[in-house]
This record gives sequence, structure tokens and C-alpha cells, in this order.
Amino acid sequence: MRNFFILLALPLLVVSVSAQTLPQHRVLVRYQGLQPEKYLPPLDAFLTSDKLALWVVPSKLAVQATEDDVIKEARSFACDLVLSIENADSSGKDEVSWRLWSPEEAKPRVSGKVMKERPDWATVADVYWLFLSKPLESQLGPGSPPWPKATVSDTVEFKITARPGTLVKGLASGPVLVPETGVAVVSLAIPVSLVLEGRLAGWRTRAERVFVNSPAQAVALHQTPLADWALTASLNNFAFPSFGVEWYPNRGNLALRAQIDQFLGGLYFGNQSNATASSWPVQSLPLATVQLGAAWFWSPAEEQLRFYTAADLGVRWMFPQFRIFTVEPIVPLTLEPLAGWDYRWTEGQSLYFELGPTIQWAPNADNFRASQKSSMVFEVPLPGVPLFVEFPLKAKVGYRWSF
Amino acid sequence: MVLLRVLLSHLLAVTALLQAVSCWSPVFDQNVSLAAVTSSKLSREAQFRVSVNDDSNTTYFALPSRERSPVSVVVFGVSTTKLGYWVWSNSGGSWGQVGNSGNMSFDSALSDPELVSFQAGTTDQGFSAAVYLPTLGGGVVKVVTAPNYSPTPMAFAAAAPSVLGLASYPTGVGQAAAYLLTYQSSALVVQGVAASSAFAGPAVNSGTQISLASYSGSAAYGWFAYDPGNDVAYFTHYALDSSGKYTTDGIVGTGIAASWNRKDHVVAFLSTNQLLTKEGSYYDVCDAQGNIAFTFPAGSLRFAGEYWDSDGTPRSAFTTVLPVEGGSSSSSSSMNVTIYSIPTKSLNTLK
Repeated sequence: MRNFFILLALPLLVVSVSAQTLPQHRVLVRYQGLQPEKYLPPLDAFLTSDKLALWVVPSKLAVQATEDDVIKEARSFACDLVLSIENADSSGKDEVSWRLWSPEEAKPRVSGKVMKERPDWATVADVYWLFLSKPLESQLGPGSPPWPKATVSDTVEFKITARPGTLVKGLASGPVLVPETGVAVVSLAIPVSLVLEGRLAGWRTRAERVFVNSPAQAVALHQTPLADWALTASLNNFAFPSFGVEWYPNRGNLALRAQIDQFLGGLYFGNQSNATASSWPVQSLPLATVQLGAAWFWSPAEEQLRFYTAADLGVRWMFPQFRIFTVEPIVPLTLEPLAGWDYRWTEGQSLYFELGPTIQWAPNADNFRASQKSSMVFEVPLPGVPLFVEFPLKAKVGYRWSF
Repeated sequence: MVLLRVLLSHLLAVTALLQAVSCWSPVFDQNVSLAAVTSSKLSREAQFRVSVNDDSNTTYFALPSRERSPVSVVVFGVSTTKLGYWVWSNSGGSWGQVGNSGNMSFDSALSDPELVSFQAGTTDQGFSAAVYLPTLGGGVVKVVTAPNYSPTPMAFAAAAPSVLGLASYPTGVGQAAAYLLTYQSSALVVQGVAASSAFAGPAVNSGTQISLASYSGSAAYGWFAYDPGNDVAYFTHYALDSSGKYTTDGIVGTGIAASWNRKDHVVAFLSTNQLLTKEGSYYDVCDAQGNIAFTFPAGSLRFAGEYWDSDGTPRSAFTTVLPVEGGSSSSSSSMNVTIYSIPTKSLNTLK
């Protein structure tokens, strides 16, 4: 039963984690003073952490640069914020002056000065800049006053090359469909940072991050064809190896699949008197289920973790002592509705996990109960239809090789 | 994304733990399934439910009477040190228990209780049945009598002459209901026993008698089947040979007419002049030379003797005794008893 609630909760987790937002502000960080090679990395980590979620652009200006130079630099990188920090030595301590301001405003929104002990970088790097947390959150967090948009310096044509029919997302003007020529031309106000994602049935499009700050820039989206076939090997209920083949018509989201759940060889960690006489933790039953089914992948092919649902109809076969080969009469048919998660760690290879009930059709309920040994089995309350569901739910963890 | 991976890995770990702890295997019992394959081709004569002692390691088997109108059934329960029976009868379409033995304890362990031969007969006076336990006392026949369905204590046949085997054959009233293979005065002797004698009285006829000098096989106990028409005794030695197989001899008055080494042992000689043998979860039907004509699945299904139906056709009876609830057959407090039959000449339809 616990498996059932975990099953319900997992899609919610997938949705909540996927809903993370992109950074809303680009901040130009101008740091002057002591040891920038030590102070800047933890500052960068602090500013880009989930709490503030800023897009950080380090300033490359020399020490003698003026404030006008800083404003020009901020505009060239489309930064709407500037964080200026001066760190000076004061009798062996750090005297840190800072201010957060907009290139479009005359005065800083918030500023301050603190005295801090010289840090021991091995132990306090992660917490050194935490004193900025409250004031920055007050200006950038929910309910804070709006900041002026970054000034646009020019409008240019930007070329996106991809297969015809690819729908390109991530542009401020909305999605763009790549025409037959394979090149989509869009007008962009520069400078601008883009995260371009593509969608094309049968193809996986790699997301591209691109910074556009000059005319005649272009990007080619990398696209690879999806697999037509896949072979699977899994461990059924963490005990019996299973094997299967999947076919993806038109390389789409639908998978037609065939599997064999064999029980000739499997693991068993219980009382060996119920299994085989072997001292090894193994069991063997002259039984196999041949399944035909279909799966539907709800997540786009571009996502590394894809969610899918499936239904498999199975026929159980038995072959005691290999003297007969016949449909197993006690539970001749099974139906398995499943939820699955496919985690692709590299092209064509993934690990997957499936979970769901095995609904067993037992024409003779008395014989079914006589065959039951250790599992918990519940009768489905359907009058005249002898169906049983077994607990724990069927779980499969496996490897999928797509080609 | 990191959070999701962590949660997913935890989910996998928890599920793995659950499955590992449960020591999962699918709902499947080879013997029940094999019995279902064959029983679907048989006529179901009766089914009823019996309450039994919830005793561990008990093997149950049912034996219907040869007389089918009314039919009675004795259900035996054999554990390592106990044997008991319940007698059930059908009256007016409903089944009721008409007697039981209580638990009979034995001093010596019934170390191999599933190896049981059995025989039943019904007379006008009552019911009698015999169960043969080859490992107990070197093959002693145990006899149960229940005249007029009134339960009486279990009676035991004398150990002498030494009984090597027990066989049944569907004979008529007044003829032998069972045959004993005995060892008397350096000779093997087949004795027929009338049902009314409760297997304790003298032989009503004597069949094959050969001197041990003519019989080169050992006189150890085993499984026995008898062909009264040709006076041939088929005997499978309980002891395995060096290759792990049983030795079966076809014995006539002059010695061994046929012999073979296989993994099956004899069960009965059929009215079709064929020999029924059993190997593990399967029955084999053989000719007199031991050549297998066909095989059919048995599993939990037990051959329970032949009988003549109302128009004189010999039929083979089969029974199953299966637990009502799941678990091993010994942990259920009630069992479903089912009686099946098929014309013996149609046994080949079971292959």
C-alpha cells in the first residue's frame, strides 16, 4: 500500500521540480580590493544560489574605470543591476562597502558598509557573503519595487538553423516555426541572452544558451533522430530478470512493446524451504509470462527524465520438467497498468523504473487460492469476474538500449 | 533536478527493501496447475469441503468408494508421526461426515508419507479402506474399517506374512478387492483379499507364487500392481539403483518376464491391460513390457482406483485435496475435496 502512495506522489514531485524559474535579473558584479581570486568565487555562488537566482556577469573593467564605463559595460551585457563592492584592509580586518544600483538610475537602491574578520577560506567561504542576503532579498524578492529594464542598444537579425518544422521556443516574441529552408530569421533587441529549445516529432533537439550582442550572429540547433527500437532488460520485483523489445512508430511518443517475464531463474531471500533446496538465494519456477502492450511517453524527448504510462496484457505459460508447454490454467491472463520513469544518462541508453498492479484473471478462484503461497492477494469486487490483485505492486528496474 | 534524483533514488531504495523483505514469487503452484490441466478434461463427480486438523507437514489424499450410489469418500491425513481419516458420504445430494478416526499416533516416524498406495471397497455392510505406507515397518498394511459407517478404531493387518506391496483392481462382488504381494517361506506370493474381510482375513485366492531362487530381485518392499487375468505381478523396488532410477520387474510364476529401470514407479494395472506408472508430477501409461504409450500431467491429482459404472464401463477415478486458503497445503484448516472420473479407455485423451 505504501508503494501506491509513493506512486501518487512522484508525478507531483516531477512537476514541482520542473517548475523552477529562470533568473529574472542580470547583475554586473564590480569588485575592487583584496584578493578577488578568493573573494569572487563564493560571491558568485552566493548570487546564483536558488535563493537569489541572479544571472552574474563579472566586470572586466580596470581599477581606474569611471562609473560611466561601468554603465556602458552593464548595457553591453544587458544587465539591469550593478553590484559594486570595495573591499579594503582596515587594521587586519576587511572593510566591505557595497551598493546595488541600476544603470538607469542616479542613486543606489541599497548600500552598506561592514567590518568583517579576515576569513579562513577553508571553513567560512560559504558564509562570508551571507550578510548581503537580507538587503538584496528586500530589493529583489517577491513584493520588492520593480527595477528598470536593461537598455537596448540595437535591433539585429538573428538566424536559427534547424530541421524544417522545428518549433523553437525561448524567444521574447514567442515560438517560431523553422520553414522549409531550414533557417528561421528573427529580429532581436540586443544585447540579449537566450535559452533556445526546439521541438520536432521524431527528433531530439538540444537546448542552446546563446548571448546575442552583435549583428549577423547565428545558431544551429543540434538535433538527433529518436530511436525506432529499444531492447530492455530488467529485474522483475527485484527477483526475476525480464527481457523486452519496444517499437516506436514514426519515432513518436507511442511505444508498442513485447516482453517476457521469466521465472526459471531468480533471486530469493526468504525461507529456502519454500523455494529450492539450493543454499544459494535463488528460486526457479517453470513459468513465464509473455506480454504485449503499449506505452505512452508524456514528457518531451528532450527531457532527461521522462514519465510514461503503459498497459501490458500477458499470457502465462508453464512447462514443468519441460514435459509439457501449455497456458497456465490457474491464471491464464494478466493485465498490468504501469507508471514508468525513464532516466537517460547518455544518448541511446537509459535506466527505467516501472510500478503498477498485476491484475490476474483466475477462472477458478478455489484453485487460485490453493496456489497462493506468500503474497497478499485481494479480490477485485466485480461480480462474476474473478480478478485478483497482488501486493506488493509489481516493480521493475531496468536498462533500456534505444537504437 | 538534484532533488528529484535524490527522491527517486530513495524511492527505488524503499521499493527494493519492500520487495526484498517480501521475498516475492508469483502466485503459482506447479502441482495445482498441472492438476487443473488434466482435471479440465475429466468429469467432476463431486466436490465438498472438509475441516481438518491444522497440523504442519500433513499430506492429504481422498479415496472414493467403488460403489457410487451412494458414494462415500475417505479423506486421509498423513503427517510424520500421525495418520487420521474422515469418512464422508453423500446423502440426498448433500455431503456429511459420517465418521472419523481422530489422530492415530505412531511410534516410528512416517518419514515419507506422500508415498502412499491405497485401496477402498464398499460392501453392503459398510466401508473399508487400506492405506499402504512403504516406509513404515518395512511395508506394513494399515487397515481402516467403518462398518455401517459407524466409526471404529483403526485396525492393523498382521505384519506376517511380510507384505511387500498392495495393489487394487476393479473386480466384482465377492472377488478380490485388493492384492497383497507377500513374502512367505522363501517365496513371493500374491494374495487376493475380499473387501468384506477388511484386509485382515485369509486370502480368497492365491495368484503368482514363485520361489526366491527363481526371483533374482531383492525382496525389499515397494510399489505393486497386479494383472489378475495373466497372473503377472509388477513390482517397483522402493530403493533406487546407483543411477537414481527405480527398478520395476514384471514377475510371472517362472521368474522375471520383463524389467526396466526408469524414474517412474508402478501405480496400478488397468482394465485396458495397461500399466499406470507415476514419475514426479506425471502419470505414464505403459504396455506390459514397460514401454510408455503416453503421458499426462498429474500434479495434485491422484489416481484413486478403477470402478465399474452403472452400465459396466470401467472408469478411472481421480481426486484432489486442496487448501481452501492460500499457503502450503498443511496450513489451511479446511480443504476442498474433488472427485473426478473418466472412462479408462479414454485416458489417452489426457495426454
